[in-house]
Amino acid sequence: MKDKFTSTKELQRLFPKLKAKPAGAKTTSPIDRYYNCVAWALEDQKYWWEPFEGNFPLTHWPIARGGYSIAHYVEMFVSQGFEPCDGGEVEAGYAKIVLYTHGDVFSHVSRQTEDPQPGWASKCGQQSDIWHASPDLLEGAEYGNVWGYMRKPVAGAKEDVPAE
Amino acid sequence: MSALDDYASTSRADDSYRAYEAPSWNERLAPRPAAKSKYLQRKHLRLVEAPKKKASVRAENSDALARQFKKLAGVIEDKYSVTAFFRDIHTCDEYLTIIGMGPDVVPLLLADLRANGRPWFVALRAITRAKVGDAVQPGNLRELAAAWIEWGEKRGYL
Repeated sequence: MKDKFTSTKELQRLFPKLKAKPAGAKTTSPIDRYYNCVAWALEDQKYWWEPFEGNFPLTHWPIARGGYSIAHYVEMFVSQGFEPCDGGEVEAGYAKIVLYTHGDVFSHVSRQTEDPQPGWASKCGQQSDIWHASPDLLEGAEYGNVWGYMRKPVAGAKEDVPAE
Repeated sequence: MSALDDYASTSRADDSYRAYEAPSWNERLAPRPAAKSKYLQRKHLRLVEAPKKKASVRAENSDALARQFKKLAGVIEDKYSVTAFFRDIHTCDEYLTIIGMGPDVVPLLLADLRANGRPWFVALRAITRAKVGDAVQPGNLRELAAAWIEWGEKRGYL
C-alpha cells in the first residue's frame, strides 16, 4: 500500500496552511492504524483512545464514556494529569498538548515535542505521525481550529525554583 | 408351399444365426464403454457442464464484489484518512454498504486486514456474529487484528 504521508502534496491537500509553509510539517513514521492522536499525545502507541460506544469493547477510554464534546475530552485529559494553561510556549518542567475542535466537538490533539526539532507531534488518524512547526498549521477543514492548551508536570523534571 | 414350409426351408438354409456366439462370462463382466444416449448426454450436461457454468458466474460475481469492495475501501480511506474517530468511519454509507455485502465479503475484509491493517473489526463482527477478541484489552487493535486473522486462518478464509 502506498504510504500517502510521504507525499508533501498530500499533507498540503489535507492541511492547506502548509502550502504557504511547505517545510512546516513532515512525516516522522510509517502508517500505523492501531493508535490515534489521543494515544500519541499521551505517548502511547498501544491503544486506540476514543469514547466510542459500541456493543463490544473496541476502544480504550479511561473514564466513563460521555461523547465527543471538548468538555468530555478535557475531563479525560485532566484524569491523565493535565490542566488547562494559557499558551503553547515551551515551559520547563511541563509537557503540553494543544486541542482542536469543530465548534464544541473535539477533533484532534497534538503534543509539544523536541524531536526531531522543537515543534508539535501529531498522529493523523490511522495514518502516520507527523511533526509540525506550530499548532495553527493543522487548522482547516480536517481539524477545525485550535481550541486551547493543557499542560502536565513532567515526571522527574526539576521545577524552576526562583533564585532567592 | 405352405408358409410353414417356407419358414422351415429358409431357416435351415440361412445359417447366419449361427454366426452369433453368446459372449463368455468374462466378456459379460468386463466394463463396458459408457453409453452415450441422448438422455445421458443431457444428464451429463445438467450435472457436469452446468455447475461449471455456475462456477464461472460465481467467479465473475466474486471479481465484481472484490472490485466494489476495493472501491468502497478507497473512498473510506480518502474521506476519513486523518480522523481520530471510529464513530465517523463505522457510520458512513460506504462502511455500511460493505457490511451489507454479507458473508461473501468476509475473506476480502480479512485479507485487507492482514495486508493493510485496516481495522474492519465492526464489519467482521456484524457479518459473522463471531465474538472474536473479547478477551483482548479494549483499544488494543494490534491484538484484536491478530485474533481476527487467526480466526480467519482456522476457518480457511485466509
